[in-house]
Amino acid sequence: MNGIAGFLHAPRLPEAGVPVRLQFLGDLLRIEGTETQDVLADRLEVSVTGFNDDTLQLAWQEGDGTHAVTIPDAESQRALVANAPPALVRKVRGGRADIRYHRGKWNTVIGALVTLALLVVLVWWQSEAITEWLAQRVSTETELSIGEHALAQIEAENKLTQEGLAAKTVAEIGGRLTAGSRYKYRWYVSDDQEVNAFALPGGIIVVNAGLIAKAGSPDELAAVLAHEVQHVEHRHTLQQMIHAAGWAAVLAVALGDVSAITAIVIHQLGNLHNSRKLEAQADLEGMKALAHAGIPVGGMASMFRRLQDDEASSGDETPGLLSSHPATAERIAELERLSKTLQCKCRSLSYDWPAIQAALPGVAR
Amino acid sequence: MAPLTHRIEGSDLQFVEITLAAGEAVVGEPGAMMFADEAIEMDTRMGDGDDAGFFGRLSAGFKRAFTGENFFTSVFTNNTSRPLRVAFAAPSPGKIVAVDLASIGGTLISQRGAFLGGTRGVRVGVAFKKRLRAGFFGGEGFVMQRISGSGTAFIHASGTLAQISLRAGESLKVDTGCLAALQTSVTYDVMYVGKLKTSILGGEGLFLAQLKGPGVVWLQSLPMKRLRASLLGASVAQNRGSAAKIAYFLFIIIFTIIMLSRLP
Repeated sequence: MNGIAGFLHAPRLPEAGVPVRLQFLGDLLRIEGTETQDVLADRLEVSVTGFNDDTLQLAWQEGDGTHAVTIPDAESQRALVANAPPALVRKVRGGRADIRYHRGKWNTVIGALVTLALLVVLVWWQSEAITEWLAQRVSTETELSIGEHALAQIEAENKLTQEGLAAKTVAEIGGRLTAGSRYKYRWYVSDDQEVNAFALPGGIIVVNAGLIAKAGSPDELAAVLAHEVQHVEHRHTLQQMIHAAGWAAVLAVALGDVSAITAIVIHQLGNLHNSRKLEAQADLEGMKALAHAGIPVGGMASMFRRLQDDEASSGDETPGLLSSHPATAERIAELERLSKTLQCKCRSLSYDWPAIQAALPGVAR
Repeated sequence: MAPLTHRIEGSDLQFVEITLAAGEAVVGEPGAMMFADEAIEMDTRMGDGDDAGFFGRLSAGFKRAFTGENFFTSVFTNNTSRPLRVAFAAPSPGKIVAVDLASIGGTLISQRGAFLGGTRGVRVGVAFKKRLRAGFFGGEGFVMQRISGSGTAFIHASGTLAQISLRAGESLKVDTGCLAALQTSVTYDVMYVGKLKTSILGGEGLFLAQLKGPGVVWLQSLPMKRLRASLLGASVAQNRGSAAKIAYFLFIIIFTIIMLSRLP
């Protein structure tokens, strides 16, 4: 019963209040300090006070003014609730509820702010993982529809073909690399003379005539195809689009409204570069796909090396493939290291390579 | 713990001289010491200058730094058998007040940076004002100082410090920024000044702090912010005066030239 500690404030006492102990004797509140006094519980007014609204106050009127007992500490407040006579207990409970309400309100405000801050940090920190996750949420149909739009854009500038020896060879090698994929791949050869190849969302792969003309063997072409296929399989283009177009676009795509967004996104498509991390992933997965299909895995490295040598010797403009796939020394070294580690019962592809190159659309020999 | 024997000297630029009994120790903000007897031992410690563990002292240090105090505390100990003196000076024009913490329930809440020194063992912590409107408009911000312990604490505020006691339910309108310290039993909130005319022309701003008893509050007559504003205002007014003079002369010269050029 002596667990209730408080401070008594009264006109003739020290201004700061004096420490007292409280106890209830029936309907009386006994206040024990330097002197003892009893107050009828019915006369007590309960309110909440204190710097942070966390103190219970029991006040009553005497002849010389207001007297009050303040109870700041939570344990004493609980003891007060437990021991108060029925007449008072409801008021005291109300006071306690007020205190809890203030605390709860504040905790909610702080909690919300902290959560928001954490969320911002998390999004910033995990933005790659989030774009990847979002890219996986886009349906294959939407993806294909974006791919089709992009394809139409490219077709407006270049002649694309699925006919002829070159396109047939590309489709054949591609078919070996993408056996069992969830995508239905389509292979195009463009009459663009730039050394480049790209993958559009939904399984559309475009190989420039310039690349086939520059490739030294079908193995090198296969390596490039394997690499591009990985961009499709892992939805790298979508990830880059999400990154570039922002998340508002993603939401629209996820909701199915493609038209407006694709217009913006396709406009950017030419400028989209996969990050180094995505390129490295495509390199590695591409090599695995090659090994799985029984095609020699060294094609990418030898292709890059020759392009780089050509660039150095001729001083020409950087080929598109190199500008979009930065072939740093480390990358080539990594490619060569990987090609040694991968176990593969591989046989070089046997095609009449000069004949294929001769059949390219629009190649000036 | 017995209150410290001390003497506060000066009228507006004060210092407090404390007489330490044999074995007694005080803490002070680094840089606050004015003089000390030769035999006083000085030591600088992280945190509140008590014998807490390393992490306790580290966290105490951060709490202090957060509330406008120094990360470190200077401890002054009298290890002799005779009484010795040490004095702390106030960092700015204003008053020093000695508060016997035991007499106010063990805890005092003050504005940031108010703590000057006190009995060794007095802790300076963070009193977070958990009310958005008071934090934003109350003039003291969200973070105040919680000075707790059982000895004497010396607090300092600019201007003159008025100690006012409030009875239960009695409440006081206070200009924001004038609140220097308060007992924990006092409710601190803000209120709208009440009338549009007053809020615009009254010069007190839109809000007033509201302090409601029971308990003791300390109010400062000249908050640092106001002192700064009036000094800055005076210096700007001076500049504006000279600029106006130059503009006036320019106007007269141009006017004269125009008049002269129009003469036949």
